[in-house]
Amino acid sequence: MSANPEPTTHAVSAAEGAIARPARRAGRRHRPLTPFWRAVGAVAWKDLRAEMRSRELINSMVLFTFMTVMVFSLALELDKEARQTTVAGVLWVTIVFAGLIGLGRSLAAEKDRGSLDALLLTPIDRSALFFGKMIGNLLFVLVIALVLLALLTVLFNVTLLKPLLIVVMVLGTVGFTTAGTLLSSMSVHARAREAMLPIILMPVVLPVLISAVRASVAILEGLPRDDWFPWIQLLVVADAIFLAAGYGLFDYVVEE
Amino acid sequence: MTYSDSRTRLLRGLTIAAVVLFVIGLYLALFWVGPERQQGAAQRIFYVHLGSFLGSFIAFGAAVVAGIAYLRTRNPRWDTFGLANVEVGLGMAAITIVTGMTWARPIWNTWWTWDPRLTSVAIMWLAYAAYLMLRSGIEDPERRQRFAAVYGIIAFASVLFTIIIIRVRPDTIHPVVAGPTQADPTGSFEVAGRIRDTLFFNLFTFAVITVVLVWHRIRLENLIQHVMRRKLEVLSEL
Amino acid sequence: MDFDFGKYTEYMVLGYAAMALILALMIASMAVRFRVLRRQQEEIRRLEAEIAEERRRSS
Repeated sequence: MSANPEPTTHAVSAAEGAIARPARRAGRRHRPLTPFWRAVGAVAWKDLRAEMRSRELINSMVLFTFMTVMVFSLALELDKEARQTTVAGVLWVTIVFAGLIGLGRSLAAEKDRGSLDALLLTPIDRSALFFGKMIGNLLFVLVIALVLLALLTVLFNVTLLKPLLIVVMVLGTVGFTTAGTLLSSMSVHARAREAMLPIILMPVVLPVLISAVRASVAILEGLPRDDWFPWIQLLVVADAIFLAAGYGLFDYVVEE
Repeated sequence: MTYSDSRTRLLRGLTIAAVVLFVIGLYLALFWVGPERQQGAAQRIFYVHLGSFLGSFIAFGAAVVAGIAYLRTRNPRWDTFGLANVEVGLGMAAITIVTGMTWARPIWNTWWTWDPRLTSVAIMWLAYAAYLMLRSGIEDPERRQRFAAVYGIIAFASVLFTIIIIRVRPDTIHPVVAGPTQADPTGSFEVAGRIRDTLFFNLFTFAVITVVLVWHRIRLENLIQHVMRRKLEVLSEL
Repeated sequence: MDFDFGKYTEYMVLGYAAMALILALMIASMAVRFRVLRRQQEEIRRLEAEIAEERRRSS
């Protein structure tokens, strides 16, 4: 195996990548650990590569996004003012629902193919695996979010491509995908896993969602800083809590 | 199931104490305290409202402790403890929400409004309801205990959210009784006299009631598991 | 009772009734489950005795 193996199947295994690279220094424990961030990168990169080849997830997510926006604009029959006030809600609800599809697939596919066990066997930190998975999911959701921004700007005739709004968007999606990655790794083992993920994820990320929507509305309406800054603070706090929880708890979720 | 006599006696004593405290607390809240000038009798709801919230807070907090302890020790007793706390906490939170609604109807002229505080409590309730759903959805007992512990810890974020949201957003119409707010960052306690005494008494009462209910719920869970094991034993003998 | 609770008494009664109902439901659900389990325990004990009896007779 070369240092950068060129895999032949869709199910690129990070295991190969991680093992092939010689661990620079043998860990004190019985297994040599791949450096943390390289392991994170390897896991995220293999998800991206697998997705770039198959494009099954991103296609369905984008199509789902289009349809949800259609449904919203037809169901709400918005005039110009109403569009201004509801566009943030439409934006975030669509991100969450499209994100749920992605999160549900990400680990379920891994488990069905049996590659989850292989991933868990790799000599890397479990938390590196978590962050790798989380970054992969985050990138998918961010792609969807960008598509949505453009789509809603055109269809709702509201300019959404504001730097501040993008900051809110990144903060919101980080919180959502962090909690989502952790909880979807639990829901894949549940009996009705497609139904279980939204049930256990929604109440946990609703605070993030509320803060993101409130901040977005305030920014879009051009309100003063005091009206949106507390929500951004809350988002940062929530992100920090979820990142810490993911770092500390993922070990216990996937241990087998 | 057999328990040591002293513990059973303690539980029985606590149960009786809880009932007595509850009755005294009701007397204080309903008769001893005079009617409040603006809110009249509706204000009397406030004692159970806050008391039950304290109860749910204790129970959910204990569920976090149980989750951490379970992940460290892998002793299934901690899982039982966590489950009991979540169930009792859900009941207590339900009391908080329903009494809040009956208070809000005359005072705010609506049963429910999407105020930050109300919203966050509703989210908290849903999060712990999801905890029970997650438990029922996983068959392997070891995994169920592990996931429940993890989720019990994460769900506490929603409890924290109910507490910090009104510090972040002062635009709630929900009255803030204790602790710092943006309007008064040093923290204060704005009720006095008989109202305060009654409130503290009811807070204490609901804390005791919560502990007693959790304890009984733990015994129930132990009995459930005991009977389940015995059933399997008998079946294997057949 | 001619004690004057103050205005909005009906809402106060409603609130306390709701609290009592939820507490009662919690306690009742536990009591019912306890009773069912005790009955099952009895059943198991009886069944075990029967099995032991059967064994003794057949041997």
